[in-house]
Amino acid sequence: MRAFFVILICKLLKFIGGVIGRGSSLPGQIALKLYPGILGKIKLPSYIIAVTGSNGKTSTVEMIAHILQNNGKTVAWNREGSNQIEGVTTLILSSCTLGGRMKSDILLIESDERYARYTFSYFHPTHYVMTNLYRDQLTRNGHPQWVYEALSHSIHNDTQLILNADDPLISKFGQGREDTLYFGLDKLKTSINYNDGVYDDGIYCPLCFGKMEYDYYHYNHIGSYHCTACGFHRHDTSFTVTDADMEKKIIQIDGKYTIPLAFTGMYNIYNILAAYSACRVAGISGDKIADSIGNYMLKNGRIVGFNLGDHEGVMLTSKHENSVSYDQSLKYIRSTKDRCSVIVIVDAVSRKYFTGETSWLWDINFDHLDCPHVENIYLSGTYVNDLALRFSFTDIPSEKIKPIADIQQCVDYIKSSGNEKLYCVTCFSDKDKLLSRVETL
Amino acid sequence: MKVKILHLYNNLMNLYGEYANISILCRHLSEQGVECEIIKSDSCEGFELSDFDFIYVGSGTEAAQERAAADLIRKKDELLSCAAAGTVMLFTGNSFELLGSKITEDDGKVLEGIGLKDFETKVSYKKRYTGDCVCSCKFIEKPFVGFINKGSQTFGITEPLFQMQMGEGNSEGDKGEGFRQYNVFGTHLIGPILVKNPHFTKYIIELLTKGDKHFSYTDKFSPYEQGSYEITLRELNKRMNT
Ligand SMILES: [Zn+2]
Repeated sequence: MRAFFVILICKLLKFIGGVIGRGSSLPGQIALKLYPGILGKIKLPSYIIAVTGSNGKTSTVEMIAHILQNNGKTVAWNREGSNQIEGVTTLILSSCTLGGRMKSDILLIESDERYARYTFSYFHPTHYVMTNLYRDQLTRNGHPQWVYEALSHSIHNDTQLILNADDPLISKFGQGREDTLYFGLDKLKTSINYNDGVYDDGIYCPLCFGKMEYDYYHYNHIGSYHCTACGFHRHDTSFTVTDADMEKKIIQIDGKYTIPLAFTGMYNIYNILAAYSACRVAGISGDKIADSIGNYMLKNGRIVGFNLGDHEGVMLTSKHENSVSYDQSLKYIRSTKDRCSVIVIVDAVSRKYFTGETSWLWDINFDHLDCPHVENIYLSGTYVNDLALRFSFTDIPSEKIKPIADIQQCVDYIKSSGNEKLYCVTCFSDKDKLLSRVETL
Repeated sequence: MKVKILHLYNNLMNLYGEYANISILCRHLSEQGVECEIIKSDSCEGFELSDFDFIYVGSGTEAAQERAAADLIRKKDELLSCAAAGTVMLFTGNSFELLGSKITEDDGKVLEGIGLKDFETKVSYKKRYTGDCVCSCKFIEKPFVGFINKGSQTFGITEPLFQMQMGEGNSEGDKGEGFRQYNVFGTHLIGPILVKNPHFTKYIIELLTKGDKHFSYTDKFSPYEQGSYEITLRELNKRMNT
């Protein structure tokens, strides 16, 4: 009876919240206050797929939901990205019957890395996809090993892990777990034989601290590695990108499924592969997945086209305090051919207050932009000095670098000069400061 | 004039962009006409510490700190005599804990420190202390800005390097932060402290060039460093006053 009322209250609050446009954490938060053990009382679907990791979880979850729904499955998922226990509670209670039974075929959860242990103490995912662990928001996350430690408490014996084999720290979760499935990329034309980041988080073995060696890298410390001391190595993969042609914008999975890409960024390829892996495990066939995900454009606003004067622009949303996400955007720009300019905006690192913590700017390899087709690099926002100082330590010719602190002035300046392509690299928290001043497509 | 720099544990202890401290220091030394030679190493084996004018160590994970402690202890006597002889050293983040007498880890394991000063550190995996800092020190007029990101508390420092106006001190409730002994500076202010505090870089350069009678520091205006410092200080002051 108690569960009935708590579910009812949560549904009502969710409804009211939807009407007044409030976030989706509050109903779950109140439900948990009223009945802390409520999640343990719900009859959940036979497939509970959780996705976590530093980067790509929102996009991966969106893709999984899209594929599953496209193939006739009903999916309950936290599309608003409320990925802590309160948001997950809202999701579950608002999509179950008043009798406490979930109607969907599949429960799909994006989970925050640090708080997954609390969410999954009330129920355990049947499948747990882990994308990567990078230096990410270290102001709250300390460092990747610390997040690893927190995340390890969210893994239970009755959960099957689906891990990124190319990330050594993520792969460590599979140690001693026989049923673990791995996904990864074979050596591709884009593979390189060095770490192309500023720092190297793949130097030491996450198991024994021995020296690691790589056969190849896809980017940063993601690639094919082995420890020279204990033998820990990249695991063989069950789900694999076997070929990629960035010019033709296609990838091939498991040697037989060709998937056209809406966007050739490396992280998009990993997200597609992770989604493919999860959907295969959920019983969807490879060709059906390929049909569903080919040319898929994410709806979560990570990539937005816009016009500014004679410039055709693309917003490549990255994450402040996350150097790998910046590196990926910069590498994408480097991989393009047409002459272009780039605007980097760092205006508010935290939504709540000003912080002086800018060490992450030094972890970004801005030298990716040192290529002839990048003509101007505009720097803007409150942190324009930190950006300009960071760029002064790159090999990029200084005449290309144009710091204009005020975002409006910067936009006006670009509008009145040139017609080259324009890429904007900034964070969710800052992207509207540009998008509100241009014509979005 | 030439300055020899040792960036110790440059891969092992590099969580927060600390290499930038060396980059900025060398840029300014060069501007002052001082030549720089930089050696980077993840071990202190293979060279004499006394060959160097400046030794720098940044912050790392708890596991990396353990590795660094085991390595550094082998050069304990050498490091202590360099310190006493006036070698300039900067230890930022949790590397500064290595200079005390011991570090007790979360699981009870004890790491032996260098013992430059008799202080000790307790590491916790549960609680992290993170946040912006504004602080002052006795020998430099301008306030410092920075950020602390640590999972430890340090006890027993009687003469700290900084007095905190904002941010966590050596331990909970302690307004003192870091320590100085001779020309060895230890602080939990992470990341590029020299990038963020141009006045500290200048002070370090003055220490490094003190032995050369012909040298005199020429002020060079660095608008981006100055701008970054001033905006950070202004905004953090606003936060303190609200
Ligand atoms: Zn190993």
